[in-house]
Amino acid sequence: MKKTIQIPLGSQHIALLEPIKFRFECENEKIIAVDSDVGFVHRGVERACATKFSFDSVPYVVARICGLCAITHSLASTMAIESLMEGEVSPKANYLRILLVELDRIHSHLLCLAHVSENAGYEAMFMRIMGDREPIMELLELITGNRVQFDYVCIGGVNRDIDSRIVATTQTTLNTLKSKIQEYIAEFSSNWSLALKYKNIGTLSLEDAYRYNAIGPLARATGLATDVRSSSKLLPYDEVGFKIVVGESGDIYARNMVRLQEILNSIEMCRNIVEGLPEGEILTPFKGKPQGKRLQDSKPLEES
Amino acid sequence: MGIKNALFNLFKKPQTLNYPLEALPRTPNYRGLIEYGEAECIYCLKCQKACPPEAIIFEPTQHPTANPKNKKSLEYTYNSLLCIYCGECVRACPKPNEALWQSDKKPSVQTAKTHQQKARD
Repeated sequence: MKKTIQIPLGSQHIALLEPIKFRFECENEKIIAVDSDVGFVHRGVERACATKFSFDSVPYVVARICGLCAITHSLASTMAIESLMEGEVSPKANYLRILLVELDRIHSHLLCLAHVSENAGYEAMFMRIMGDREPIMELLELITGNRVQFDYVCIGGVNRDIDSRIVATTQTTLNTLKSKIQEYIAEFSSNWSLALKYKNIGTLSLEDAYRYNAIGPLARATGLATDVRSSSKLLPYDEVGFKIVVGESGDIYARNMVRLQEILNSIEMCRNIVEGLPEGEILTPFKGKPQGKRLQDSKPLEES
Repeated sequence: MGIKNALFNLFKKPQTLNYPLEALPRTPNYRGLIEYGEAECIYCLKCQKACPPEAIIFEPTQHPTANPKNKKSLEYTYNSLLCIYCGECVRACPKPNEALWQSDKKPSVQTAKTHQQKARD
Protein backbone atom coordinates (compact mmCIF):
# COMPACT_ATOMS: atom_id res chain seq x y z
CA MET A 1 0.00 0.00 0.00
CA LYS A 2 1.17 3.48 -0.76
CA LYS A 3 2.23 5.27 2.37
CA THR A 4 2.51 8.81 1.02
CA ILE A 5 -0.10 11.29 -0.12
CA GLN A 6 0.30 13.80 -2.88
CA ILE A 7 -0.88 17.36 -2.33
CA PRO A 8 -1.05 19.62 -5.38
CA LEU A 9 -0.66 23.37 -4.92
CA GLY A 10 -1.14 25.83 -7.74
CA SER A 11 -0.84 26.83 -10.48
CA GLN A 12 -3.34 29.38 -9.14
CA HIS A 13 -3.48 29.53 -5.38
CA ILE A 14 -4.40 32.25 -2.95
CA ALA A 15 -1.10 31.92 -1.08
CA LEU A 16 1.05 32.20 -4.18
CA LEU A 17 2.15 35.56 -5.47
CA GLU A 18 2.87 34.33 -8.95
CA PRO A 19 1.62 31.31 -10.90
CA ILE A 20 3.76 28.31 -9.98
CA LYS A 21 2.79 24.69 -9.50
CA PHE A 22 3.98 22.36 -6.72
CA ARG A 23 3.21 18.72 -6.04
CA PHE A 24 4.15 17.81 -2.49
CA GLU A 25 4.80 14.20 -1.56
CA CYS A 26 3.83 13.95 2.10
CA GLU A 27 4.32 11.29 4.71
CA ASN A 28 1.93 12.30 7.47
CA GLU A 29 3.06 15.83 8.36
CA LYS A 30 6.45 15.59 6.71
CA ILE A 31 7.13 16.70 3.16
CA ILE A 32 9.52 14.18 1.66
CA ALA A 33 9.58 15.32 -1.96
CA VAL A 34 8.38 18.20 -4.05
CA ASP A 35 7.90 18.60 -7.75
CA SER A 36 7.66 22.09 -9.21
CA ASP A 37 6.69 23.66 -12.49
CA VAL A 38 7.45 27.32 -13.02
CA GLY A 39 6.66 27.78 -16.69
CA PHE A 40 3.37 29.63 -16.40
CA VAL A 41 4.45 33.17 -17.13
CA HIS A 42 5.69 34.16 -20.52
CA ARG A 43 6.02 37.86 -21.09
CA GLY A 44 7.82 37.73 -24.39
CA VAL A 45 10.61 40.06 -23.32
CA GLU A 46 13.26 38.35 -25.48
CA ARG A 47 11.12 38.52 -28.59
CA ALA A 48 10.23 42.15 -27.92
CA CYS A 49 13.90 43.05 -27.44
CA ALA A 50 14.83 41.30 -30.68
CA THR A 51 12.09 42.78 -32.83
CA LYS A 52 10.43 45.88 -31.41
CA PHE A 53 13.21 47.84 -29.74
CA SER A 54 16.48 49.24 -30.96
CA PHE A 55 19.66 48.09 -29.21
CA ASP A 56 19.99 51.20 -27.04
CA SER A 57 16.46 50.78 -25.66
CA VAL A 58 16.99 47.15 -24.65
CA PRO A 59 18.53 47.99 -21.21
CA TYR A 60 15.37 49.92 -20.35
CA VAL A 61 13.16 47.01 -21.43
CA VAL A 62 15.01 44.28 -19.55
CA ALA A 63 15.14 46.47 -16.42
CA ARG A 64 11.40 45.92 -16.21
CA ILE A 65 11.70 42.13 -15.88
CA CYS A 66 12.10 42.48 -12.13
CA GLY A 67 11.46 45.43 -9.87
CA LEU A 68 13.76 44.33 -7.06
CA CYS A 69 16.87 43.82 -9.15
CA ALA A 70 16.20 46.49 -11.77
CA ILE A 71 19.82 47.56 -11.91
CA THR A 72 21.35 44.11 -12.46
CA HIS A 73 19.38 43.29 -15.59
CA SER A 74 19.98 46.65 -17.22
CA LEU A 75 23.65 46.61 -16.19
CA ALA A 76 24.20 43.14 -17.63
CA SER A 77 22.60 43.97 -20.96
CA THR A 78 24.35 47.34 -21.14
CA MET A 79 27.74 45.73 -20.56
CA ALA A 80 26.98 43.06 -23.13
CA ILE A 81 26.15 45.74 -25.70
CA GLU A 82 29.23 47.76 -24.75
CA SER A 83 31.48 44.75 -25.29
CA LEU A 84 30.21 44.62 -28.88
CA MET A 85 30.96 48.31 -29.47
CA GLU A 86 34.10 50.39 -29.51
CA GLY A 87 34.69 52.69 -26.60
CA GLU A 88 35.55 52.65 -22.96
CA VAL A 89 33.53 53.45 -19.87
CA SER A 90 35.22 55.96 -17.56
CA PRO A 91 36.46 54.71 -14.14
CA LYS A 92 34.06 57.04 -12.36
CA ALA A 93 31.06 55.56 -14.17
CA ASN A 94 32.26 52.07 -13.27
CA TYR A 95 32.49 52.99 -9.59
CA LEU A 96 29.02 54.55 -9.69
CA ARG A 97 27.70 51.37 -11.26
CA ILE A 98 29.19 49.33 -8.41
CA LEU A 99 27.67 51.76 -5.90
CA LEU A 100 24.20 51.24 -7.35
CA VAL A 101 24.55 47.47 -7.60
CA GLU A 102 25.71 47.23 -4.00
CA LEU A 103 22.94 49.49 -2.67
CA ASP A 104 20.51 47.33 -4.62
CA ARG A 105 22.06 44.23 -3.06
CA ILE A 106 21.65 45.72 0.44
CA HIS A 107 17.95 46.39 0.03
CA SER A 108 17.33 43.06 -1.69
CA HIS A 109 19.10 41.11 1.07
CA LEU A 110 17.19 43.08 3.72
CA LEU A 111 13.91 42.21 2.00
CA CYS A 112 14.90 38.56 1.94
CA LEU A 113 15.87 38.56 5.62
CA ALA A 114 12.59 40.29 6.49
CA HIS A 115 10.59 37.59 4.74
CA VAL A 116 12.67 34.84 6.30
CA SER A 117 11.88 36.18 9.76
CA GLU A 118 8.22 36.62 8.81
CA ASN A 119 8.03 32.97 7.75
CA ALA A 120 9.55 32.00 11.09
CA GLY A 121 6.56 33.65 12.73
CA TYR A 122 8.51 36.71 13.90
CA GLU A 123 6.45 39.52 12.41
CA ALA A 124 7.95 42.24 14.60
CA MET A 125 11.35 41.53 13.08
CA PHE A 126 9.81 41.79 9.61
CA MET A 127 8.54 45.27 10.48
CA ARG A 128 11.89 46.33 11.92
CA ILE A 129 13.90 45.18 8.93
CA MET A 130 11.49 46.68 6.43
CA GLY A 131 11.63 49.96 8.38
CA ASP A 132 15.42 49.94 8.16
CA ARG A 133 15.30 49.10 4.48
CA GLU A 134 13.38 52.30 3.76
CA PRO A 135 16.37 54.71 4.12
CA ILE A 136 18.21 52.66 1.48
CA MET A 137 15.26 52.97 -0.88
CA GLU A 138 15.21 56.73 -0.23
CA LEU A 139 18.93 56.88 -0.91
CA LEU A 140 18.41 55.09 -4.22
CA GLU A 141 15.66 57.58 -5.04
CA LEU A 142 17.99 60.44 -4.21
CA ILE A 143 20.70 59.08 -6.52
CA THR A 144 18.58 57.90 -9.44
CA GLY A 145 15.36 59.89 -9.09
CA ASN A 146 13.16 56.83 -8.73
CA ARG A 147 12.46 54.33 -5.98
CA VAL A 148 12.27 51.18 -8.02
CA GLN A 149 12.93 51.50 -11.74
CA PHE A 150 16.29 53.22 -11.58
CA ASP A 151 17.12 53.56 -15.30
CA TYR A 152 20.55 54.62 -14.08
CA VAL A 153 22.86 52.72 -16.39
CA CYS A 154 23.09 53.67 -20.05
CA ILE A 155 25.41 52.68 -22.85
CA GLY A 156 28.65 54.53 -22.19
CA GLY A 157 28.27 55.19 -18.48
CA VAL A 158 25.61 56.31 -16.07
CA ASN A 159 22.85 58.89 -16.34
CA ARG A 160 23.32 60.94 -13.20
CA ASP A 161 26.23 62.20 -11.15
CA ILE A 162 26.37 62.36 -7.36
CA ASP A 163 27.14 65.56 -5.49
CA SER A 164 28.45 66.34 -2.00
CA ARG A 165 24.95 66.33 -0.50
CA ILE A 166 24.30 62.79 -1.73
CA VAL A 167 27.70 61.68 -0.43
CA ALA A 168 26.87 63.05 3.05
CA THR A 169 23.44 61.37 3.06
CA THR A 170 24.97 58.08 1.91
CA GLN A 171 27.52 58.13 4.71
CA THR A 172 25.00 58.87 7.48
CA THR A 173 22.51 56.30 6.14
CA LEU A 174 25.14 53.58 5.86
CA ASN A 175 26.54 54.35 9.34
CA THR A 176 23.08 53.95 10.89
CA LEU A 177 22.46 50.79 8.91
CA LYS A 178 25.75 49.26 9.98
CA SER A 179 24.88 49.43 13.68
CA LYS A 180 21.45 47.94 12.91
CA ILE A 181 23.05 45.07 11.00
CA GLN A 182 25.25 44.30 14.01
CA GLU A 183 22.05 44.03 16.06
CA TYR A 184 20.49 41.78 13.46
CA ILE A 185 23.50 39.49 13.46
CA ALA A 186 23.11 39.06 17.23
CA GLU A 187 19.38 38.50 16.79
CA PHE A 188 19.68 36.06 13.90
CA SER A 189 22.31 33.99 15.72
CA SER A 190 20.78 33.88 19.21
CA ASN A 191 17.00 34.31 18.90
CA TRP A 192 15.11 31.01 19.17
CA SER A 193 12.68 31.70 16.30
CA LEU A 194 15.37 32.75 13.91
CA ALA A 195 18.46 30.77 14.83
CA LEU A 196 17.51 27.46 16.40
CA LYS A 197 14.46 26.94 14.22
CA TYR A 198 16.50 27.43 11.09
CA LYS A 199 19.55 25.33 11.94
CA ASN A 200 19.73 22.12 9.88
CA ILE A 201 16.60 23.08 7.91
CA GLY A 202 16.66 23.14 4.13
CA THR A 203 20.25 21.98 3.94
CA LEU A 204 21.95 22.00 0.58
CA SER A 205 25.17 20.05 0.54
CA LEU A 206 28.33 21.31 -1.10
CA GLU A 207 28.24 18.49 -3.66
CA ASP A 208 24.63 19.26 -4.59
CA ALA A 209 25.38 22.96 -4.88
CA TYR A 210 28.25 22.14 -7.21
CA ARG A 211 26.26 19.60 -9.24
CA TYR A 212 23.15 21.77 -9.70
CA ASN A 213 25.16 24.94 -10.40
CA ALA A 214 23.81 26.86 -7.44
CA ILE A 215 24.72 30.55 -7.37
CA GLY A 216 24.40 33.49 -5.04
CA PRO A 217 24.10 33.33 -1.23
CA LEU A 218 22.51 29.88 -1.60
CA ALA A 219 25.77 28.49 -3.02
CA ARG A 220 28.08 30.51 -0.79
CA ALA A 221 26.25 29.28 2.34
CA THR A 222 27.28 25.73 1.46
CA GLY A 223 30.94 26.69 1.29
CA LEU A 224 31.15 26.96 -2.49
CA ALA A 225 33.21 30.07 -3.13
CA THR A 226 31.48 31.28 -6.28
CA ASP A 227 30.76 34.93 -6.89
CA VAL A 228 30.46 36.74 -10.18
CA ARG A 229 32.00 39.78 -8.55
CA SER A 230 35.29 37.98 -8.03
CA SER A 231 35.24 35.67 -11.05
CA SER A 232 34.63 38.34 -13.71
CA LYS A 233 36.83 41.36 -14.14
CA LEU A 234 34.21 43.51 -15.84
CA LEU A 235 33.82 45.88 -12.89
CA PRO A 236 36.73 46.93 -10.63
CA TYR A 237 35.49 45.07 -7.56
CA ASP A 238 38.98 44.28 -6.26
CA GLU A 239 39.69 48.03 -5.92
CA VAL A 240 36.73 48.82 -3.65
CA GLY A 241 37.34 46.23 -0.94
CA PHE A 242 35.26 43.26 -2.03
CA LYS A 243 35.60 40.19 0.18
CA ILE A 244 33.88 36.94 -0.63
CA VAL A 245 31.65 35.67 2.18
CA VAL A 246 31.39 31.90 2.50
CA GLY A 247 29.29 29.91 4.96
CA GLU A 248 29.66 26.34 6.09
CA SER A 249 26.54 24.38 6.86
CA GLY A 250 24.33 25.21 3.86
CA ASP A 251 21.11 25.53 5.87
CA ILE A 252 18.80 28.52 6.19
CA TYR A 253 20.76 29.77 9.20
CA ALA A 254 23.98 29.83 7.16
CA ARG A 255 22.22 31.63 4.30
CA ASN A 256 20.98 34.32 6.67
CA MET A 257 24.48 34.77 8.05
CA VAL A 258 25.98 34.98 4.55
CA ARG A 259 23.42 37.64 3.62
CA LEU A 260 24.09 39.69 6.76
CA GLN A 261 27.86 39.53 6.30
CA GLU A 262 27.45 40.48 2.63
CA ILE A 263 25.44 43.54 3.65
CA LEU A 264 28.31 44.58 5.92
CA ASN A 265 30.77 44.08 3.06
CA SER A 266 28.51 46.05 0.68
CA ILE A 267 28.28 48.92 3.19
CA GLU A 268 32.07 48.96 3.35
CA MET A 269 32.33 49.01 -0.45
CA CYS A 270 29.75 51.81 -0.83
CA ARG A 271 31.64 53.92 1.72
CA ASN A 272 34.93 53.35 -0.06
CA ILE A 273 33.33 54.38 -3.35
CA VAL A 274 31.71 57.61 -2.14
CA GLU A 275 34.85 58.62 -0.24
CA GLY A 276 37.33 57.96 -3.02
CA LEU A 277 35.30 58.70 -6.13
CA PRO A 278 37.65 59.92 -8.89
CA GLU A 279 36.98 63.01 -10.97
CA GLY A 280 35.90 62.54 -14.54
CA GLU A 281 33.11 62.17 -17.01
CA ILE A 282 30.17 59.95 -16.15
CA LEU A 283 29.18 59.38 -19.76
CA THR A 284 31.49 58.55 -22.67
CA PRO A 285 29.64 58.41 -25.97
CA PHE A 286 29.75 55.12 -27.87
CA LYS A 287 29.48 55.64 -31.59
CA GLY A 288 27.91 53.36 -34.13
CA LYS A 289 26.09 50.09 -33.77
CA PRO A 290 27.21 46.88 -32.02
CA GLN A 291 29.15 44.38 -34.11
CA GLY A 292 27.81 40.84 -34.34
CA LYS A 293 29.44 37.42 -33.93
CA ARG A 294 30.56 38.10 -30.39
CA LEU A 295 29.03 34.90 -29.03
CA GLN A 296 31.30 32.71 -31.13
CA ASP A 297 34.59 33.97 -29.74
CA SER A 298 33.46 34.55 -26.17
CA LYS A 299 35.12 32.43 -23.53
CA PRO A 300 33.44 30.90 -20.49
CA LEU A 301 34.23 32.45 -17.14
CA GLU A 302 37.30 31.03 -15.48
CA GLU A 303 36.80 28.46 -12.73
CA SER A 304 36.84 29.92 -9.24
CA MET B 1 16.59 43.26 24.02
CA GLY B 2 13.11 42.36 22.82
CA ILE B 3 11.32 43.95 25.80
CA LYS B 4 13.40 47.11 25.47
CA ASN B 5 12.50 47.41 21.81
CA ALA B 6 8.82 46.76 22.48
CA LEU B 7 8.65 49.50 25.13
CA PHE B 8 10.62 51.89 22.96
CA ASN B 9 8.28 51.27 20.03
CA LEU B 10 5.24 52.18 22.14
CA PHE B 11 6.40 55.77 22.37
CA LYS B 12 7.89 56.12 18.92
CA LYS B 13 6.39 58.04 16.03
CA PRO B 14 5.10 55.77 13.27
CA GLN B 15 7.48 55.15 10.37
CA THR B 16 4.72 55.37 7.78
CA LEU B 17 3.29 58.55 6.28
CA ASN B 18 -0.36 59.52 6.49
CA TYR B 19 -0.27 59.56 2.72
CA PRO B 20 -3.36 61.05 1.12
CA LEU B 21 -3.61 63.69 3.85
CA GLU B 22 0.10 64.45 3.94
CA ALA B 23 2.01 65.07 0.76
CA LEU B 24 4.89 62.72 -0.02
CA PRO B 25 8.31 64.33 0.27
CA ARG B 26 9.76 64.78 -3.18
CA THR B 27 13.46 64.34 -3.79
CA PRO B 28 15.31 67.14 -5.60
CA ASN B 29 16.24 64.70 -8.36
CA TYR B 30 12.63 63.77 -9.03
CA ARG B 31 12.05 62.40 -12.51
CA GLY B 32 8.97 64.28 -13.63
CA LEU B 33 7.14 65.25 -16.76
CA ILE B 34 9.06 65.90 -19.98
CA GLU B 35 8.31 69.45 -21.13
CA TYR B 36 8.68 70.91 -24.58
CA GLY B 37 9.48 74.39 -25.81
CA GLU B 38 8.12 74.61 -29.34
CA ALA B 39 9.79 77.91 -30.24
CA GLU B 40 13.32 76.54 -29.64
CA CYS B 41 12.80 73.14 -31.27
CA ILE B 42 14.80 72.51 -34.45
CA TYR B 43 12.82 69.40 -35.42
CA CYS B 44 15.84 67.09 -35.61
CA LEU B 45 13.67 64.20 -34.30
CA LYS B 46 16.52 62.90 -32.11
CA CYS B 47 14.22 62.66 -29.10
CA GLN B 48 11.78 60.53 -31.04
CA LYS B 49 14.56 58.12 -32.03
CA ALA B 50 15.97 57.95 -28.48
CA CYS B 51 12.66 57.35 -26.70
CA PRO B 52 12.47 53.64 -25.68
CA PRO B 53 8.66 53.33 -25.37
CA GLU B 54 7.89 55.73 -28.27
CA ALA B 55 6.17 58.21 -26.02
CA ILE B 56 7.40 61.14 -28.14
CA ILE B 57 6.17 61.06 -31.72
CA PHE B 58 6.23 63.84 -34.29
CA GLU B 59 3.03 63.42 -36.26
CA PRO B 60 2.22 65.05 -39.60
CA THR B 61 -0.34 67.78 -39.19
CA GLN B 62 -2.47 69.99 -41.43
CA HIS B 63 -1.90 73.04 -39.23
CA PRO B 64 1.84 73.36 -38.60
CA THR B 65 3.27 75.89 -36.18
CA ALA B 66 4.95 79.11 -37.25
CA ASN B 67 8.42 77.73 -36.39
CA PRO B 68 10.53 78.07 -39.58
CA LYS B 69 12.49 74.89 -38.73
CA ASN B 70 9.34 72.84 -39.03
CA LYS B 71 9.69 72.14 -42.76
CA LYS B 72 7.84 68.83 -42.82
CA SER B 73 4.81 70.28 -40.94
CA LEU B 74 5.06 67.99 -37.93
CA GLU B 75 3.44 68.22 -34.53
CA TYR B 76 5.05 67.14 -31.26
CA THR B 77 2.90 64.64 -29.37
CA TYR B 78 3.91 63.36 -25.97
CA ASN B 79 2.14 60.52 -24.18
CA SER B 80 2.83 60.84 -20.45
CA LEU B 81 1.19 57.47 -19.79
CA LEU B 82 3.67 55.65 -22.03
CA CYS B 83 6.67 57.67 -20.85
CA ILE B 84 9.07 55.90 -18.47
CA TYR B 85 10.74 59.22 -17.45
CA CYS B 86 14.23 57.91 -18.18
CA GLY B 87 15.39 61.22 -19.67
CA GLU B 88 16.96 59.71 -22.80
CA CYS B 89 15.18 62.31 -24.96
CA VAL B 90 16.64 65.21 -22.96
CA ARG B 91 20.13 63.72 -23.24
CA ALA B 92 19.64 63.27 -26.98
CA CYS B 93 18.34 66.80 -27.48
CA PRO B 94 20.86 69.24 -29.02
CA LYS B 95 19.21 72.12 -27.12
CA PRO B 96 18.40 70.73 -23.67
CA ASN B 97 16.67 73.07 -21.18
CA GLU B 98 15.38 75.17 -24.08
CA ALA B 99 13.56 72.79 -26.40
CA LEU B 100 13.14 69.78 -24.11
CA TRP B 101 13.65 69.39 -20.38
CA GLN B 102 12.62 67.21 -17.46
CA SER B 103 10.55 69.12 -14.92
CA ASP B 104 9.58 68.08 -11.41
CA LYS B 105 5.87 68.09 -12.23
CA LYS B 106 3.69 65.04 -11.99
CA PRO B 107 1.72 63.91 -15.04
CA SER B 108 -1.96 64.66 -14.80
CA VAL B 109 -3.90 61.48 -15.38
CA GLN B 110 -7.09 63.23 -16.45
CA THR B 111 -5.72 65.15 -19.39
CA ALA B 112 -3.32 62.52 -20.73
CA LYS B 113 -4.70 61.21 -23.98
CA THR B 114 -3.47 58.24 -25.91
CA HIS B 115 -2.75 58.47 -29.60
CA GLN B 116 -5.85 56.45 -30.38
CA GLN B 117 -8.06 58.83 -28.39
CA LYS B 118 -6.51 61.80 -30.16
CA ALA B 119 -7.17 60.21 -33.51
CA ARG B 120 -10.80 59.65 -32.55
CA ASP B 121 -11.38 63.28 -31.49
